[in-house]
Amino acid sequence: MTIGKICMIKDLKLALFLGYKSIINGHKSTIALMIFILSLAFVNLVFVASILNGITTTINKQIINNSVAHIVIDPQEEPTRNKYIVHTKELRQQIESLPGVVATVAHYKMVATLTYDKNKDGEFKYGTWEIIGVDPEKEPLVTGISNHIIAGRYLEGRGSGDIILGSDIAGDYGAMEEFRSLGGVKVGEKVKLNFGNGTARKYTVQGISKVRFALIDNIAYITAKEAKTILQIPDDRASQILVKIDKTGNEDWYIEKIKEMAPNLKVRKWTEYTSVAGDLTKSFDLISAIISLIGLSVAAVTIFILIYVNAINKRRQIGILKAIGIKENTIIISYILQALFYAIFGIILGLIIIFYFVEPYFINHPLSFPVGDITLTIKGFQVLQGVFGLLLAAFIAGLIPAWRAAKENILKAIWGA
Amino acid sequence: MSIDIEVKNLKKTYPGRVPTHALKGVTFDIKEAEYGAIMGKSGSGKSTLLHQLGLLDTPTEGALLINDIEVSKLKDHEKTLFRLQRLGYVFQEYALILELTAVENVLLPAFALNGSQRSYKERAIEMLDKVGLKERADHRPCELSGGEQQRVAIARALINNPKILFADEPMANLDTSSSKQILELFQKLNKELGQTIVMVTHEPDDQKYVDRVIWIKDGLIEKRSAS
Repeated sequence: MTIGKICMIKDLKLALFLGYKSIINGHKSTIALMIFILSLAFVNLVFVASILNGITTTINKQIINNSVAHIVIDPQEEPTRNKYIVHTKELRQQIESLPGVVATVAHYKMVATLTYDKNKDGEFKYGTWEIIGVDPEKEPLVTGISNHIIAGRYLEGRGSGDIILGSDIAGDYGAMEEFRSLGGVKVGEKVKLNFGNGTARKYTVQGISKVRFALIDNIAYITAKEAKTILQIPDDRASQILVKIDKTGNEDWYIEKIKEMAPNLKVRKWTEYTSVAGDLTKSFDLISAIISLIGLSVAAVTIFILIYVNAINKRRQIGILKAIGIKENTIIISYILQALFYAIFGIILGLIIIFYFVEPYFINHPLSFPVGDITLTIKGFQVLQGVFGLLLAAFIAGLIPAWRAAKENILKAIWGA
Repeated sequence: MSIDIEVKNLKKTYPGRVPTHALKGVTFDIKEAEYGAIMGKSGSGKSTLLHQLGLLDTPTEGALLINDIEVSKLKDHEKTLFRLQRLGYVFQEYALILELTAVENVLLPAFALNGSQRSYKERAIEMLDKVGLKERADHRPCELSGGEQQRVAIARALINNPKILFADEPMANLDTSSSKQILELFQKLNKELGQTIVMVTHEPDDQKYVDRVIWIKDGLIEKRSAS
């Protein structure tokens, strides 16, 4: 071992000894307060990021589980724009043969004006919404609308004449824009639909769906069979195919495979299809980063003040240590170690608060947002970011005041001149 | 007998709107195993002189040699190591680390020099025994009297076997009985162990314990007794 290394170990051992003695013989209430403050700073770092994660996770889940699944296949756009995907049966069979594909469904998309005479007095309420034709048997394998029927029941069989209304269309179910709804359609009542191609039909409301996500609660569902008669298309065509896979995150591989099967179709990942998810994730990541930076700065300033006050109070002792021949670096390291001690115990306490109190609380009492119920989504790397961020803040905040105090003239430090 | 400390035309000026010339050119030497006292009235410059000798401050001009090394030219970190290895310093106000026990205070310089506290604990207790405080080894400074604290400080100053021991009015805050104990302890260390001691005091009665006195007045040596 070199002399330099031996000296370093000697200095570190002495710094540890001084730091340890300072902590165990210091005021217990002050130490407890410092650790508590730092634990709050840590909780703040993780909590804000986790809430924002919770929002994006909920939005993503809503989109994947209740809207477009993982992969969306649209009709050919180049060189000519087609209205429908053809040979859907073969294509879906091919896709479903890929390992990890849970299921595929065909959607038939239309736009219609819905009309409803609530009081049967000739005064109609109406509005234009998206209508999707779905296979009631297959659809639950890919999207979860059937699990979110809040009144009545889901579509059954291949029968026509039935419709499921999204809660924001039906009204009276706490829509964001209640005035745009039909004003309170009940299960069993009739609504009239005027489709874009001129077809007009009456449907009986079989159920009301509500996933608590405005983009989805503004859609009405009819059976695929019914949709095909309105669109006047043969069985092997569809407006859209949705693909559900077993693991979110592996979409790119499947997209590549599907593009090989049908090079002309437009194949997109759910994030590209619904730009709201990507935009929100980006925005929340930015907000999270800014809040984390502010949180870390506050934590750093807190540690700085605590260590600074500590160092100022021990100015005379620092002077004495220097006078008897203790190196400045040893003194500085002892203060950094103290700051790290407070930070480590603050982090441990913070982790206990988060995982044993905050997270269970939000699981039992989720926050109600227009995108769904939000709970904390704690990501490992963000916890680690918080841990290392706070340790770095503690290091810097311990270093600066200790360095200033240790650099002071010995006599000034001892006599406070 | 060789010379331990050689002071040549040492000057110290504190800057300010009106600079204070605390030392105006002091020249003397202290021999090995000598017990010297620096005496003078308050504000005469005696403590300033001891601070320069103990490497706690840097002289403005002149040369200071300790064991033939020109210490006034050493860098800060070299001075720190020099203090640790070769000098012991006893302050007027005990200057103990409040969070450490008596024995931990004493072994601190040994720990800093050798990197081990366990192996020097025995020696620290031995040093405390020398100053008559073995039984109080595990007491913290707040549990000790002024005289006891000062004796702990002396034990701490001696643990690394320093070549020279400096003491800055070590009896200033002590009662007569404690002061006598300290002076006798210094005398014993000097006579029995051959410890070089330089002590600042303003008490004329202390002269009888020392080998030589250097009187300082207005930053200059006023007179010196023969060694």
